[in-house]
Amino acid sequence: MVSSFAILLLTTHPSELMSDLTRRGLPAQFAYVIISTLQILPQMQAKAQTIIAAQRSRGLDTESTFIKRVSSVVPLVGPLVFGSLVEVEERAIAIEARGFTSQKQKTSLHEISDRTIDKILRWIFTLFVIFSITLNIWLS
Amino acid sequence: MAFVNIKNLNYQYPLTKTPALRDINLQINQGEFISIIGANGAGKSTLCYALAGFVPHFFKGEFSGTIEVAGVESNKSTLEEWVLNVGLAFQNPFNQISGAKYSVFEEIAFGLENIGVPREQMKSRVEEAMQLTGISHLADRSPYSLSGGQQQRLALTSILVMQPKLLVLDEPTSQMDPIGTREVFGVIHKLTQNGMTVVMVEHKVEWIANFATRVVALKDGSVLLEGKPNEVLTSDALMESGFGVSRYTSTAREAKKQGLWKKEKLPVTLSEAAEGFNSK
Ligand SMILES: Nc1ncnc2c1ncn2[C@@H]1O[C@H](COP(=O)(O)OP(=O)(O)OP(=O)(O)O)[C@@H](O)[C@H]1O
Ligand SMILES: [Mg+2]
Repeated sequence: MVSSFAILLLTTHPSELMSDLTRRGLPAQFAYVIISTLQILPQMQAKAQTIIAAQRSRGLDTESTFIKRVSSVVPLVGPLVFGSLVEVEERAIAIEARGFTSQKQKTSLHEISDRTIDKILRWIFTLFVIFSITLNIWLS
Repeated sequence: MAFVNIKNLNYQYPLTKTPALRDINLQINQGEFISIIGANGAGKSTLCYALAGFVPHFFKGEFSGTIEVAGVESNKSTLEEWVLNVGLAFQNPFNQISGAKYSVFEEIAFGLENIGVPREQMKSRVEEAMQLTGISHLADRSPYSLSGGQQQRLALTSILVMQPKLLVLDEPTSQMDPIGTREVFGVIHKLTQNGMTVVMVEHKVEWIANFATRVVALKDGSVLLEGKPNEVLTSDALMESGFGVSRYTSTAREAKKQGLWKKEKLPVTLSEAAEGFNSK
């Protein structure tokens, strides 16, 4: 499951995935949360690293015993969470300023091709999934 | 009738005890470049949010008075409609990137997708906007791989592509290095020359002195001063309000007391100061 999700993300252009999902009826807000999380998480990780480095240079212990390491996470949480809350508000304003909540029918920059071969493959894979699940239940 | 008309504007954030904006009256003509200055907490950002419709549509609280842009009142409009007329960009370029797009081109198109612009028009509008801000060469780059100045120009482009009638900028250069600042000011200068009306919160007084048509100084939520850049930036009232005036202004003010500055008008920029000290 996890690996198939990874394959999906590696082989599909995320923006295309998002446009296609919204075209199929997934609310735009939903699709946005998924895609932006994928992109913003690495940025947040990088920020956490910066905060760790900054705290460590002020003598914070992040490498010895478990208890010490856990307690050393505490000073990390403040800047990261409060920073993120402010960022979330700003980002909400920024995307709203660009019509994100517009009631109009959205359009897409990318044309998503859904050829006959795609449709056939989708059916084959669906059948394959059903088959393997049945097989699994039957064997156990 | 002025293009932007703010009348008796008062606003207080929810759960706060003092108003963030008090009885603001301001008229702005089409094509003006207004610079807003003031100390921390003076209400500059709040005024930007009010112009861009986020006060009172996003930030609730107590709101009274009216804001009109091109004859339409923000109170009587929805935020969704309002953002099409008034574009807003702010300090941190990173937070203005949608996070949903993987290239600069897609990022700029995001707003157009949201408001349902047909695909064929989208491409030409994005290209036109990129040309205006000089980032065409970055079209295929990831928004996250850009420098601060480039990211801020991307944020500006993403707003400009929506074709707003009024551009509101809240300290867009405060996190920029000198190169980034010059890039961003270059774009804004070009926009005003094309007739765009701009309201910009900015602390870099030398830039303001060179570019703004008018300066509005806020203090504790009210308009303290309003006038030509040099008049406002060199006024005694501004200095007394604790706002960090240009060092050339304060130097010349001292020099004047000792008879070393002969001119009536005090300088804001280095070149004005040099010229003044050189003249006999
Ligand atoms: N979201 C908010 N909720 C409650 N109060 C707020 C909020 N944002 C700002 N304020 C308050 O409103 C007042 C004006 O703030 P504002 O951010 O407009 O000032 P500013 O002039 O932009 O300051 P700065 O130079 O720090 O950016 C301040 O007293 C501030 O504490
Ligand atoms: Mg502010």
